[in-house]
Amino acid sequence: MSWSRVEPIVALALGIAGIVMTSIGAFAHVAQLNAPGAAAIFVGGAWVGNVLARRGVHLFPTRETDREERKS
Amino acid sequence: MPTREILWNVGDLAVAVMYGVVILQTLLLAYGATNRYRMWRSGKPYGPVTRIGERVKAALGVALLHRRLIRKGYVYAGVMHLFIFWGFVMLFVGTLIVLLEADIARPYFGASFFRGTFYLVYKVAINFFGLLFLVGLLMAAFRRYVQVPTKFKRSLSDDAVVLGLLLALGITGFLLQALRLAATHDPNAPFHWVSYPIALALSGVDPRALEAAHTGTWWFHMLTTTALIAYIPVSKLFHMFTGPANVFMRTTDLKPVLAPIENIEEQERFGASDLVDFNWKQLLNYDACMRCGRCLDFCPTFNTGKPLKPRQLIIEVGAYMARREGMLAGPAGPLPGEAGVRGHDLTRPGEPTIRDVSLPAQLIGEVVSEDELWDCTTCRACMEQCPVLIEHVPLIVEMRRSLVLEQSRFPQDLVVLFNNIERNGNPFSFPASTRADWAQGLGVQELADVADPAALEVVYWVGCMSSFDARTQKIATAMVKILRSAGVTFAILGKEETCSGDPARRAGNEYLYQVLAQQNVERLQHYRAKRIVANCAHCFNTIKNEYPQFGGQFEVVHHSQLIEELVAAGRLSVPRRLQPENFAYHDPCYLGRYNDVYEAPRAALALAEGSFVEMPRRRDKGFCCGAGGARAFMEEKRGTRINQNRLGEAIQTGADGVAAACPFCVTMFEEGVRALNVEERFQVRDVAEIVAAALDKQVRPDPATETASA
Repeated sequence: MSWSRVEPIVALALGIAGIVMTSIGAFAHVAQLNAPGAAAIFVGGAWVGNVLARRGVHLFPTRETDREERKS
Repeated sequence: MPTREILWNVGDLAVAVMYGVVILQTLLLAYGATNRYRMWRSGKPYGPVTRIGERVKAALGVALLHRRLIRKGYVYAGVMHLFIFWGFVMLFVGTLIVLLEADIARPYFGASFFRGTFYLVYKVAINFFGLLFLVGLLMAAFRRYVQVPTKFKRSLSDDAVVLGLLLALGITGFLLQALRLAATHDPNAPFHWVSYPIALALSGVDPRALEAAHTGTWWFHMLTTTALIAYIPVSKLFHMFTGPANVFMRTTDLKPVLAPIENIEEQERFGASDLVDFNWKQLLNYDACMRCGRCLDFCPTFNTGKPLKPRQLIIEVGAYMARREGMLAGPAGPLPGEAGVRGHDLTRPGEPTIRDVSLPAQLIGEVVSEDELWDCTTCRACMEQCPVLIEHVPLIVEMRRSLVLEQSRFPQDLVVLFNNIERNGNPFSFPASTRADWAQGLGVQELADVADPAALEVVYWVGCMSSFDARTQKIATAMVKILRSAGVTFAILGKEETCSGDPARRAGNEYLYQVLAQQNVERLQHYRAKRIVANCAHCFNTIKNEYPQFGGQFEVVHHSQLIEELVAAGRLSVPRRLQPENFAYHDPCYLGRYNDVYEAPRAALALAEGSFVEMPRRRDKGFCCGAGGARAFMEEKRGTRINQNRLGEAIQTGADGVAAACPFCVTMFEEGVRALNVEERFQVRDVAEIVAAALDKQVRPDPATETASA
């Protein structure tokens, strides 16, 4: 599998791992998990955002005419 | 020991959600920032980026110390921004300290520093910076919605969203603190000196109600923070990054030169008709605007009701760029169809915005009107005032280049100008052979007739205006008189001199400019000219700063600088006149703002007349005469006349006349005094004329000289 396919999955997985860690930290009162979890969330989230932008994914709705013009 | 429970009254679920939403805000922040970066990088290459240390220092100076924001005349706005900036930064640092305590120090090291004296000092400081933040925001709101200077009459709703979000953050921050203090009866409450009075006011409320209110406020505060961070890259708030970045990437030497079109003969595209035609630093320029509107304060076009408003031009092209990349450009933006019709006013709430209309197909014509581009006088008032060093003038000239060299769309006046320069080597219809006619009878040597030109002290570059225009020829004859009085050996190029190329270059005709520049450089090099004196501020700037691009490295001085130098060397004695006239001094843009020559013409004026009057808009805040950017050769059809605006200011000082140090300014003011019908009582002079006249006039004996001779 090429890196371009794996990259968003790794980025998202990192972010989700962070959420899992901080959730355990919060609910099970394991404070040691919060810092690495938050870091993973931060890096994973930023990475996903970066990947989406680099691939030209539109997160916000654009006008139909804009999309047509961009295609042309 | 004094401390507080971190995340008091916040349940486990809320804590989990708080960490979880970080993924959303960082995702959106990174998405927006990457999109912006890709937008800039779609431009042409720029660089090399050298002198990193100097750049870092400048960027930090702007970001941390607000060096360009807090300036004379802008104390309120500068202090306002400083409060908001440092308040925001320190509140962020305060949050990081709490995070460090809760997530690192305690769980990993079993240590706690968030207590005792540190905690109390932290509380006093964080309250101080929180208050600073709120005061700054209220000052901004007052300025935008109560004071409402003209430039903020039509403010983007993005401003309101940003202000609203930040105010909500600040207020809920203090409210959270006060609710906790009241509910827990915290013995250290007085150290929370801003929240404490609110806590006292809430002391009678049922603790359960206070806790419930605290929970609700906490959620609101947390989600507002998340929304704000996600909103940063699609709003004006992004200037917190692009502003310092733009300062960092600025043209390093800050010399007022336009970049040449390299290998112009081989190019197929000229200037910028589309975003991709700009280099990426120029695209960053469009994204760096903080919308302060200082570029408008001394802009001759904005202040005379013309379509061009530098701030709007930057915002609109920035919004167009963002929209082309599928990004939101804040909740509002300009209406492209209005370009040149309503003067690019910003939209009011409820009015259609850039998002409501089809994406403009063309940058020039639909986003930026041709009228806007041709109205610019290239005076650099906008650039001088811009806190983040946006370089408006080169952007406008890039688009002019496209109109002239690629699309052949330019005002008819410029057709005449270009034809005249091509045929006659001057902007007028005078044949080149008559260029030195003004000097007939004066015995001025032409370089071609000088046996050893290298032995001359200076080459006097007369310029087209003083060579051909009957009125400003008097400046040239005055210069001859001054040079002779000081015993300076000089010669002129005479018939071999051609236009320096300034009006052609500023009008976008880079090809014509390069032909002229190369020709002039070759001639000056042929005569081994070492030192050139110019009485035209435009020629002075071009030869001094732009000819080096074509190998022309000459020492160039303005005539006012030479006069000052000759007086200092004791070679020129300027007697003070018995009946001095009181002139108001006008700073020519290409002398002052472009070259920082402010003192020399003032010194010459003071020498001849004893004193002079300063105008309210002076030095780097001087107001253009309206001639720059080839505007001297174009009809001023839109708005009121720039020269009359400036002349009105000079007349209001109560002076007997206006003194300038550039033949273009003199010409514009001569036209102005005729139009205002004040030519009988209000004089227009160049400093050289005033000094030369002083040399002629009956003099008051200089007491110092008398004593010495006795």
